[in-house]
Amino acid sequence: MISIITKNEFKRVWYTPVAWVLFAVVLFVLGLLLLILLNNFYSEVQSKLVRLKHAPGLTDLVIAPYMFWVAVVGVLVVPLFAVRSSTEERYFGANLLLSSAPVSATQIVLGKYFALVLLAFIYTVICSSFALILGYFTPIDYGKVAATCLAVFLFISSFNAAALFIANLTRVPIIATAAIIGLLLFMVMLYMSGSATASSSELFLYLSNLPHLASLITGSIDTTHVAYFILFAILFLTLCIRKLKYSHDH
Amino acid sequence: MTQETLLSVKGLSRSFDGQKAVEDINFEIQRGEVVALLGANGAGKSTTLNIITGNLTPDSGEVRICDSNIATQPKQAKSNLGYLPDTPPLYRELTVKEYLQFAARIHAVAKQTITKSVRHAIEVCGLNSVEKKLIANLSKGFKQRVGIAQAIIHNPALVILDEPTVGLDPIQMQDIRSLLAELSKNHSVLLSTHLLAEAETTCNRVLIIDHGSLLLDQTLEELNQSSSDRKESKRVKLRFNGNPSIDELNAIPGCESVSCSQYGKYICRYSDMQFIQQVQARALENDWQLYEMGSIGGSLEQVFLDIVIRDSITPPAI
Repeated sequence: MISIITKNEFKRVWYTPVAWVLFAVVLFVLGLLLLILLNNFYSEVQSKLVRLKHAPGLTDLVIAPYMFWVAVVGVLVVPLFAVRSSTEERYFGANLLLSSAPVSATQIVLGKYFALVLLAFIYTVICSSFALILGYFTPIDYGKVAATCLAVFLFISSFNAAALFIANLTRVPIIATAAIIGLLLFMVMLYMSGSATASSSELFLYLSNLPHLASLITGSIDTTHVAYFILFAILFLTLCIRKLKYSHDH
Repeated sequence: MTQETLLSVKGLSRSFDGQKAVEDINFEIQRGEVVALLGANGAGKSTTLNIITGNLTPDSGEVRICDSNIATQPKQAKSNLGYLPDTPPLYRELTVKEYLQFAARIHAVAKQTITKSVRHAIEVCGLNSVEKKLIANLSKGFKQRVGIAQAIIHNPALVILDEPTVGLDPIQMQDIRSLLAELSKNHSVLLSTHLLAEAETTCNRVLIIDHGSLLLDQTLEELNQSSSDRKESKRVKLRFNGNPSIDELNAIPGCESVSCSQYGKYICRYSDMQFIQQVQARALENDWQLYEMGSIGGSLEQVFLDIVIRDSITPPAI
């Protein structure tokens, strides 16, 4: 049943021009960004690296920052589909199709979540393929690239769970979108507050998802960070399932 | 012949913020019955249906569909249920056929019979001409038909329809009523409506709900019988631009009782035709500006008005 819902949700995303336009714009912007980073590397950075022993290469100085931006843009764009998938569905009353069918709240939430995860996966694959093209012209560290891809995928996928939960709290798409962006900004605030010299806090840094992304994107896969993203997703999926069950009481 | 109970509702109560929406609702629906749930707007119809379909948890009471409790065995209960809410639950970006295929899958229709089930629903609901169209581009009447098609796609024993003809034009309403007649051949139907004519033409049993309480549960036959058994007194509905008091109308010879709805409609029970002539004369005399006078026809309408507009309410200030 989960796969049926996932398939339907994923299909619905591509049946409207919204996804196509959004992805086209995002890919165009990210393509330009990669060009700028590459241009900067060849015109300014590369000549300075010649003098260094064990100097970082193109992977560290172009691909890693590019993938960081891929993650940041992705976390702004992909969760918007959670709003389409859940908030709009509630707005038009279409959620009653699933809630009146012999389908559990867990199946509904997981079905919708996996559609968003699939979207995050496709986004990561397409965006990373831009970077991988560089491999035809210069040696790149494929291991590190794989690690950055994992980081982007986990970062967006885990945030999708939070977006899905928020999208189920309201029937008004604009409120859901604002709340999702608000949560994202809160994560940034936690990171800034946690890393400020005057008020540094390990707890704030652990709670924010940005330090975990920043760490994974350097290429070192630390299970602490992977576990953080998985726990983050599980927490919000559990809240979302409870919300859906609880909404029957209202 | 033994009867098979498809829906059993016992002691259903639900309140919102301390205000009772439905209170102690009890009824059963047997296989083959087409039951109308009648009530004015806000009477508690949709709340009752939401509880029955598992979309709202009751404060107390129990709902069993084909002997499965909707609260403790929701999957079994819902597999025997088709539901059309007051707003059809449609995915506007899908075509009619794609949507029905999805509806069949989530209702666990066997893979090999999905095509057959979709075809059957399309044919029963008259969707042949629009099956490849996007739902977003359909008229309201067709959207309603698609909503009904999803409710019957898995051939449920019980179909629940919440005001299926609201917002439709008279031709579309007639189409949906014909469709309901077609559905009643193979399914038990619980139909919520506030249109009495719809209930009279499509149903064989009537439940009347008002202020959250079930006030009547009778077959149409029983209603007709009790109506003809009753000492027949006639009724007339009146509307005035002026402001006659209930006492003034009561004082007219031949008048038995008068009630007034909050919308300014007077329902007068009378035993003598003299009353009609007298009302017209008094209206002219006192400048009440009588602009509507009509007899109340049909036993269901009489019963409904008896129950819902039972007591006289202060006439509105005009």
